[in-house]
Amino acid sequence: MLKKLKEGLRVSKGEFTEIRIEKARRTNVKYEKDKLMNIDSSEEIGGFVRTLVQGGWGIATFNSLDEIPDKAKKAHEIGKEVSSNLEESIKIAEVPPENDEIRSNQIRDFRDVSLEEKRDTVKHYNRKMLDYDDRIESTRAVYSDSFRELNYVNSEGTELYQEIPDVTLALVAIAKGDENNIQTAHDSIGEAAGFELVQEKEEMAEEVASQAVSLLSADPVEGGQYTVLLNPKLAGVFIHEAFGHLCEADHFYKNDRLQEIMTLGRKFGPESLNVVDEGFIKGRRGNLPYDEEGVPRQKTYLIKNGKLNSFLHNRETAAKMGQDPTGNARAISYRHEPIVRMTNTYIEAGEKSFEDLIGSIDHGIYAKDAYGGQTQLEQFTFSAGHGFIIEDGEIGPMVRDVVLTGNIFRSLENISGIGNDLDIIGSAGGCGKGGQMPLPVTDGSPHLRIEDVTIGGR
Amino acid sequence: MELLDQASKKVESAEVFQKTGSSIPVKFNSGELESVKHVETTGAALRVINDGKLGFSTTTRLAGGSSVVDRAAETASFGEKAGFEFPGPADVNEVDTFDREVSDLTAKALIDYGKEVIARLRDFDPDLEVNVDLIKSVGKTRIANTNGLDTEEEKTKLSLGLEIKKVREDDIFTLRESCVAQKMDQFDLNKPTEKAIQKVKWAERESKIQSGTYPVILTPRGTLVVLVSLLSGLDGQNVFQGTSPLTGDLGKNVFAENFTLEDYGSMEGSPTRRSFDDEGYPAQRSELISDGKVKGFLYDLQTAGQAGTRPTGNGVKGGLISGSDFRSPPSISPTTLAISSGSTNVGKLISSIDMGLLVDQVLGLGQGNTLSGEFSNNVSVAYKIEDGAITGKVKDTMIAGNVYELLEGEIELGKDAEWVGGGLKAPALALDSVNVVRKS
Repeated sequence: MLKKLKEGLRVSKGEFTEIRIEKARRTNVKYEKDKLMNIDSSEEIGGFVRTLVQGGWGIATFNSLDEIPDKAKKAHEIGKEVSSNLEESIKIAEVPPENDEIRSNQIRDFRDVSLEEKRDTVKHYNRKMLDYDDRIESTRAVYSDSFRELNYVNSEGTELYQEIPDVTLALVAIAKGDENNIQTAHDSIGEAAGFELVQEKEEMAEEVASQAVSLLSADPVEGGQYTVLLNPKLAGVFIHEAFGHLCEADHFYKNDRLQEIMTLGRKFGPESLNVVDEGFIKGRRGNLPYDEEGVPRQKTYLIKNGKLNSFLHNRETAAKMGQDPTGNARAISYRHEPIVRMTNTYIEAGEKSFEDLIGSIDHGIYAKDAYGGQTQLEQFTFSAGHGFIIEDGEIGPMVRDVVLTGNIFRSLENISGIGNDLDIIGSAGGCGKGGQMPLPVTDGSPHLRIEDVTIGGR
Repeated sequence: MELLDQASKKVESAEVFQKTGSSIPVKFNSGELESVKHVETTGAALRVINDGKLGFSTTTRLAGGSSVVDRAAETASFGEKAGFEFPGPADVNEVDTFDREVSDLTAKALIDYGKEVIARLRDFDPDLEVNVDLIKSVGKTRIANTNGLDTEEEKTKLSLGLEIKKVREDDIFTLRESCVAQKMDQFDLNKPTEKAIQKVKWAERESKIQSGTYPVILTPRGTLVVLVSLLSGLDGQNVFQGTSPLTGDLGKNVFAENFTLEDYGSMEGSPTRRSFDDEGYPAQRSELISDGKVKGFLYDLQTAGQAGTRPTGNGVKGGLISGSDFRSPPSISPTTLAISSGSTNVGKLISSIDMGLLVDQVLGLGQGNTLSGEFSNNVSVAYKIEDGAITGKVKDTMIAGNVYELLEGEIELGKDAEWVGGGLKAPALALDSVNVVRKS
């Protein structure tokens, strides 16, 4: 393998060239209601070559490894074309060459688990949900595992081999009441781990089914402005959407106006707020020991003591802004170029207990778990799995369809309490950006109290 | 076909879906060329039925080999009972899905398109931050099975995606426009560019709307707010499982009587036009909702078999957006959707409203309980309508409602339908009363 890669480097005449080869094996098992919708065991191999020619990037991707030298030439040809259309040459930040091998470490390697056991495991959880209550109309149980072997070399002497295991389980229960009262509840887990992650998850299945049934008698939330308490899972999505994306330097590295807004040291939140992106936390899905430009992982404080502290970079954005790369160049597969992405992003623990946080809320919403979220720099949105009304510091009745929205420049300032119970949670699914989705990431936070949050509703 | 021959020796029946293609994505960031890529894809999916049970595996080695056949056979030994047989050769209305002019486009031509769009936008407003994605792709799909089907279709696609930001201190207005074409004569750089300019102009000023219930006009792109939920309700799988609110509603008048929706895979002029679906089943013209009456649902082979109904040619690998990704098993997806247009032009719809919103784009599409039809979205491109005229953009504003309730009530449809994103043709859609919440 290494020989083929090096041959590709040899024929490339650009000022910088990198080649990635990815081998992936994956299994998927999906149940819906009482039917097995899909069982799939597949393999994939492909490669990516990128070369910088007179300051312009040329990229070629391919499935046949015999074509590496041809593709290196193709990338060179494209790079030349690109450079003739550029006003300013692209530069990449200096990094020392790396030479490393990262082997995966699974307790129970999912590659050694039979397809039959995987099927039976998923079927079992699916059945648990279906049998929970007569009102459970349908269910979905989805298991996936993938084992990626990434080879990376570049013309500066970096040679890396990394094994990235990824395993996820997602459970969905759909309950039906009268008429059109159809309620959905879900939960998922995902880690850079082995099959052990998805074993003994009966409680999770029961919890999801019970949640769906409870939602049948919940009222839709009334739209308006609320003091909200977010549980760690939802608060993690909040910080990912509300601030993480804004720190990705490729959004603004060529735009002066946006850079004026994003000045280091600008106050975004309370003194007690610290936000981190960390490239490696044992077992987390967002892990990438070396990013897809061969830059080692790092712990980056995006916000320190409430102030903007650092951006996330790849080598190109770092060079352009005169800063150091942060190891955040990521690609979902060999078909894509590395762009600036988050890894494991979280709010550090504060000092308040759950009772401290909720006790002082007269009227608010305790919003839990997450359907997802989306951001467009200034505006963002994130939706909770469900919520509870808080009245005089006490948790009241359940409400549904809780979708929260915010403004990046005001929402962080409105954080009025940070819990002491940090939880970094891996779930299935992933983050989407620039046509690359889903990228495994994890988010985390302690319980978080925010004032004046807009919640949509009827 | 080698892989099919290998499989047929091992299993009762088999189907090979083979994809070979190449594409050139060109990216501009902040008005400057960022990268050009040459992407080649080759892959095959093998679906087998053995002892009456379904199995599936994919590979990037087109020649196959024993491992992919073994894996597919192994998955079949634990698989679900197949509710269908692979379709044999059928009368397919073969439509033309390939355009030489698109296929011949070079990277240079795409770069020039990008520069032209950026020049036009910068000419209008030099402060606009413009990101442009242009992608040309040519892909060949071949589907062959042991029941004698062996069919092939080559498709071209040219797409332009614009992301435009207008930054004024802490006010960042972001909008997206796109144009997707299968043939050169469907591709028009000016349309999305001029539309974007109009939307930026309307956004010059900020208007505030008080929380309350108002009429809302969805632009053709804005109809996605209601379609996302509606499509999960029309999905044959959800109907069969009883989780669609439309289960049991076939033939009933459920929607406003001027609402008509169809799925039409081989529709002329569609950027996602096709002769057959990803299971080799001929593309159909399916009435889903006609004059407010529920007429049909979308099915692939397996769900149609389980539900005891006819397939509708909606077995799609990877859904409408990623389109024919060999890695995914087929599942139910629309192919080309069309909402019938009405008789009023959009200007007239706007001028008839005293106080309301025109909504073009939202955040968080489909993130929520779509099955029940509930939506609740932060608007990202939306305008206030006051005394029959657009007064400015709104922000920090959410719209919420239930799709089934809103489409049951009074609606109005615009006269001019437009292609949105790819496989959707829609006119503007005016809803009677949508709940609006604005941060005070």
